[in-house]
Order: sequence, then C-alpha cells, then structure tokens
Amino acid sequence: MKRNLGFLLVAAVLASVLCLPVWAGGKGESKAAAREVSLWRRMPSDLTTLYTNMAETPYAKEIEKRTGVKVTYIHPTEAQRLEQFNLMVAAGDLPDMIQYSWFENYPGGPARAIEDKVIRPINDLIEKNSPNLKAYLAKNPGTDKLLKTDESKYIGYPDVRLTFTGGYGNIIRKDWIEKLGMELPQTVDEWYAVLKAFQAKFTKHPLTGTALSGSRSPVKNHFLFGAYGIWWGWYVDGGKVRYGQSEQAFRNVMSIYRKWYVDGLIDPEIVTNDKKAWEAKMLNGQAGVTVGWEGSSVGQWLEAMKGDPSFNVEGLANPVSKRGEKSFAESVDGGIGWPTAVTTKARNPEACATFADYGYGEKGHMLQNFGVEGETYTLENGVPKFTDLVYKNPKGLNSKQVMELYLRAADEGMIINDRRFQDLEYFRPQQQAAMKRRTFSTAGDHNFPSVSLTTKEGEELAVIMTEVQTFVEEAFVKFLTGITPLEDFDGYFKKLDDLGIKRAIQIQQAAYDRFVAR
Amino acid sequence: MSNRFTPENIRKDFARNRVLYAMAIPIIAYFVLFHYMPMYGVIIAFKRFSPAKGFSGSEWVGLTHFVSFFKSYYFWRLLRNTLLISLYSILWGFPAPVILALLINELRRAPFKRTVQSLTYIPHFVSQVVVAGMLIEFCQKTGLFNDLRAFLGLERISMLQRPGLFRTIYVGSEIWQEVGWGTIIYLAALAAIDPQLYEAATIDGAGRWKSMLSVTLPSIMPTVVILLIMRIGKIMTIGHETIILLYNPLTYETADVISTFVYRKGLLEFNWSYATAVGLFNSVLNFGFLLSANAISRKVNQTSLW
Repeated sequence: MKRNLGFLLVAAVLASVLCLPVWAGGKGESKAAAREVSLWRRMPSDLTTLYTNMAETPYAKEIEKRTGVKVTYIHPTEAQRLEQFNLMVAAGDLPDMIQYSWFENYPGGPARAIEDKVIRPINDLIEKNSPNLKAYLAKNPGTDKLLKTDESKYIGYPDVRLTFTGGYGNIIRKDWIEKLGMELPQTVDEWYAVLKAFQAKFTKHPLTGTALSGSRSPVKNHFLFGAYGIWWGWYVDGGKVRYGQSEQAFRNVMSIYRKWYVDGLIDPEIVTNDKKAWEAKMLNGQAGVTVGWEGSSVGQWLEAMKGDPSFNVEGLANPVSKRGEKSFAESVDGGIGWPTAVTTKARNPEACATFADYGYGEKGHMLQNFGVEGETYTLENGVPKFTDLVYKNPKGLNSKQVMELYLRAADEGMIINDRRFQDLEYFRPQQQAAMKRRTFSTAGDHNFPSVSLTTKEGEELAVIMTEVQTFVEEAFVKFLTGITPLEDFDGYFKKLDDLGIKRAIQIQQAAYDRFVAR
Repeated sequence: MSNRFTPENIRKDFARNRVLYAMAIPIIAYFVLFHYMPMYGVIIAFKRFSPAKGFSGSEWVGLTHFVSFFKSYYFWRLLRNTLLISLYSILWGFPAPVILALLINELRRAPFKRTVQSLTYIPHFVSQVVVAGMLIEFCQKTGLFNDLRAFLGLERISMLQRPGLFRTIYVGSEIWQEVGWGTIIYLAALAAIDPQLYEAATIDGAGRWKSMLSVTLPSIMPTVVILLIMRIGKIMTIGHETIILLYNPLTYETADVISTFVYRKGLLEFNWSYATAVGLFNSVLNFGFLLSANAISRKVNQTSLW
C-alpha cells in the first residue's frame, strides 16, 4: 500500500510538471482584439532604471489614446538584443511589428528578411492605410528610395533622420586648451602638438576611448582616417565603393597612430576600457581627448561637473590635412534609422498601419518630437519650447530621461525628426559650436547607403566579411601596439586580397549601382 | 542469467521497481526532449536553412558548410586554441579537486572541514558575467593582480591585452570557480571507504601519508578514472560565455575558440546552418576522444564507462 502511494505521488508531481508548459502556452494564444498590436523594440536606454516596459510611459498612454490602438511592447535585454532577435526569428515566434537595425544586423538586410518571410512588404498598407507616410514619401523621393528594396518593396515605417547634424565626433577638454593658451587643433600636426602639450602639463595618456569598435572608439573612425582621404569600413568615393582598411592610405593612418602610441599619447588600456572606466578617465582628468555624442557624453558630463567651473569640454571636427579644409565626416544620420517592419505573422496589419502612420501626420509629428503641448512644450510664436518639466524636472530626472518618457525624438521611433528638436536638445553653447564646426565637412558625399543584396550575394559577402573583419580588427591593434611592425603592411594587404576583399567590394558596388538606379 | 531479458523477467522487474522507474521518467523525458529530439535539427548542417522554409523545406547543400569551415583562414587557429585551452584545463584543473578532496578528508575538526568545503564551492554559484567582471577589474593596471605584481617588484601590465596570459587567466578562473564543486563527488567516494582498511594500515605501521597513498587513493581511483574519461569526452567543448566577456582583438590569437566562432556565426550573423555544421564537427571530435579514452582506460587499468 505504501509503495502504491509513493508511485501515485511521483506520478502526480510529474503530471503537473509536464502540464505547466501546456497551460502557459495556451494563454498567449487568445485571439487579439481588432485594435491590438504588439511591438518588439528596445527599451529607451535612459529609462531602463525607471521602467520595465514602455507601456507604462506617458508617451505610450498618449498615443494609445489618440490612435485607439492598444500596443503591447516587448523589449529585449539591451546587451542581448541581437541574440534575442535571432532566436525569435529562428523560432518563428514573431510579434506584429519589429523595430530593429535591419540594415546593420540582419545579414542581407531587410530585402533578405522579406525573402525569408520574416517581414512583409508594406506597399499595400502605405497605399491604403497610411495616408500621412504616403504623402511624405511623395514629397521626399530621397527617403522613398531608401525605404524600398531593389524590387520596390517598402520595408517598413522609417525613422527619418536629419541630414548630417554633427552630433557625434571628437571631444576635447577646452579648459586645458585655454590654460595652455593654444588654439583648437585642426590639422594632424596641430592635433599632435596639442596631445603632446596635454601630456606635458596634465596627464600621461591624453587620448582615450573604449574598445575598437562602437561609438566610443576614437582610434577607429573619428580621428585620422579622414585626413588621409579614407574612412573606416564602407564608404563611397565619386561613385566607387571602397573599403577603407584595404586602401593604401590606411598605412599612413596607422603610422601616425603608431607614433602617437609610442609617444604614450594614446591610453594603453584603450582596448580593454569599459564605459565606466572611460567615463571616469574623462571626468577625473586622466584623459582630455575622446569621441562621443553631444547629448549622452558632452551634455551629461557638463551636467555632472557643474560643481567644477573649470571643467569644460567641447566637440571638434575631424583632423584635416590642411587648415581651412572641409573635414571628412561620417554622415551617421540622414538615413531611415531603424525602420519598424510589419511581420508576416501580424494579426491586424491595418491596426499596425494606423498606429505607425500617426507619427507622420501633423499632430503626430508634434507628439513624436516635442510631446504633449502644455505639458512638455509650449509654442512661442509658433516655435516649440520645452517646459521646466523637461529642463528642471521636479522628480529630479535628467532632460534625456524626460524626453524618452514623453516623446520619441530622443531615441528612435516611427518619426520624422525635427531640426527644432535638435536645437532644443543641444542647447548648450558648447554643443552648438561643435555642431557648427563639424557640419563644415564633406559628410553625405561619402556615405554608403543602405543597399539591398540578393540572398546569394548576402551569403557570399557574409562569408568573406566575417574573416575580413576579424583579420582587420586584429591587424589594427597589432599595428597600433607594435606587435606587428609597420613594415609588414605589404603582407597585410596581400592577406586581405587572399581573404577575398576584392570580391566583397565588387558585390557592394553592384548593389550600390542598383541603388543609384532605383 | 542467460535468459535475463525474457518478457517475464522484464515484467517482474517493472512490477518490483516501479517507483524507481517512475522516478526515472523525468530524467528520461529531459534527455528525450532536450537532447534527442533536437538531434533532428542537425540536418540543417547539410542544408541552407531559412526559418520561413523550416527544417524539411530548406534546400540541401551537402557538405558545403563543412568545406567552407575547413578552408577558413582561422580553422587551424580555432582548433589549436580549443585543444590547448582544454588541455591546460585538464592538466591543471582536473587534479585540483582530487587534491582538495584528499586534503579536506584529512581534516579532523568537523566545523572547520565544513567551512572549508562551503567556502570552496561557493564560487560555483557565481554567474560567469560576475566572474568576468571581477577578472577585468583585477587584471587592469591598477587592479589586484597588478598590485601583487608591484608588491613583488614586477612591472604593472594590462594583463587582458597579453595573448600569452589569456590561457592562464581563463584556466585559473575556471579552477577557482569549480574546484570546490568538483570535490563533492570525491568526498562521497571517500566516505564510502571501509574504515577497517585504515585500521589494518595503521596496525601495519602506516602513517597518515602512507595510508593516504595506499588506501585512500586506490579506493577513489575508479571514480577518478571515470570522471577523467568523461572530461576527455568534453575536450572540444569550452563555454563561450566567459571567453566572449574576456577576449579582445589583441588576444584573439590565443582566445578565439570554436565555440566563440559558432556563437558569432550562428547567433550574431544568422548563419545557422554553418554554425550547426561546426557544432556537429565539434561533437564528432568529442565523441571520438571519448571512445578512445574509454578504450585506452579499459586496456590499461580495467576501469571504463562500458
């Protein structure tokens, strides 16, 4: 009898364990009401400490009220955004809409995603259900071109960026420059002199950053490349697609970096710094030059150092070869950002369209860029001005956080970014000066647009570029730190050829030509 | 014994041991669900997998993915790094818990013994991310390890930028994390040793050292051998998590292993088929190592998994 009881108990426990997933699975299946939409997007970065889901923000409540569409937000963990997206796609477990870095992180780009039947073209939705976006695209052929594949399929709802604003680039301790009685550097030689002077007077290793890729990496793109007429990665030069690290001038760039490194001007821990270490070095005077964004770096540092009136940072343009020359700059903006695509599993495509299209209309435009009138902004002679809710938040939030709570211009969304917002966000004189300086550039001329690749091209390019990227990244640090002597550059170019860089450039050129011909 | 598996015997056995069988069901279910069923997915190693077409719908491409992996510029480096890290971790990491278990076994005061045991296995429960964070902190020029170096009169260096130090750091941290946990099974084996053996040894005049060598060690040897065979079966498997958190372009040369490569290919670049092919290659090698280790051990000391 006792034995039977034991058997029953085990069986009961087992049965309940096995049933659990079944119950859990059943719940999600409930059919969505006609006006419900789910959107997978990242959580705005400055809100992660305040909220766990965007649905709780005033913005989400406001847009739900206005469009009548109930939106369920699904957020990946920021550090695992790519993996979680990938698993979601591989499992075929798709929400209605996805806002994602389709061009950068979906191999083959959005055209391939359509071919893989992950997302659907939205031509019909634009035609029938998105009057605002339709009208905008009719008036803006440039955006229209970016939003389509080679087969004229619209990929999703765009995040229309301003053309080059100069919100990103070099940052320097201006107070140090002033103390030394020097001028702000422009040419490569002047930069060298300033770094040397910083080293003599203030700190051992004045130039810092984090890792080698990403937006806090000074030695990657935003320093010397432009002065030698090339760029890191893909760029266009007079209709020809080029890959900066396979250009001969890359040798000159590296020889300068090497000299700076040998002189100790570059932080030797640049490869292993994390964000915390990098920020600390800038704030406590261990370094005086780096790269970053006007909002999240310059703005926040000036805010944090309010108590120390001597601390002052300002943005500069990239070094040039001759004084007075236009600088070479990457037009990181001006595109369609991270478009929001409608998936093939969307339950109510029309509701998706209603929700998405709102931001491109007149009222929606104001909500996306400035929030709610009377709450976050007021109109003075037709010009929007943020209220104290944004600048002097009673709850002690910083202005970026408030913006992310009430509007989408500060992060990303289905939006046409408004220049007036930029002026309000970068209101400090240092930021204004930096943007003015940086926009004196050839940005836009060299921009490699988001092209579409065929499946076959996409695969071939991926195979080549995986190895090329690993190789180039490694070579870069090895040349920089001197593990590989500069004399070995011939071998470097030879190896790059062996890895198939020429074929990769050919593929990109063909795709670019198709893009131009659209 | 000859007609062991007659239907009659099997039925009887089930009737007698049904609780045991019931208890085994979850384990069997686990293996079926998470280890056998996913094996079906291995076919995508020979296909060009697209989620829209599914496992069966994707087109066959034969050995394309294997060939492109073998021809890859980094193939030999990945293989070498994987094998070397594994080899070092067996060389230093495998004996560590055995030695620690023997030491703990010699401790006489129970409270002290328990404290040591708990302290050594606590690191096992620390997340890889936290461990990597600590290592990054310790390895910085101003970090703990460099403080030690400075104390010994050595120069401060950025340790995570030295390819030559990567294996030491990785294997060292692995030992620190797993050594205590690894002792548990040996301590269980030690507890099972018949005390009469020690009495006999003492009567024969053996000291503690001598009885450790002639009684303790031989008694746990079968456990050690079985675990070693199983460890060798995982020789190609190195968790990518810690490595990804610790490596950088300067240390790829020694740190980039097959699992980190699979991670980049499969999870970051969506090349599921390629990643699966590489993973399959890895498993086949593992299986080969396991079989050989088992065969050698059966010949040499009559202890084996089967």
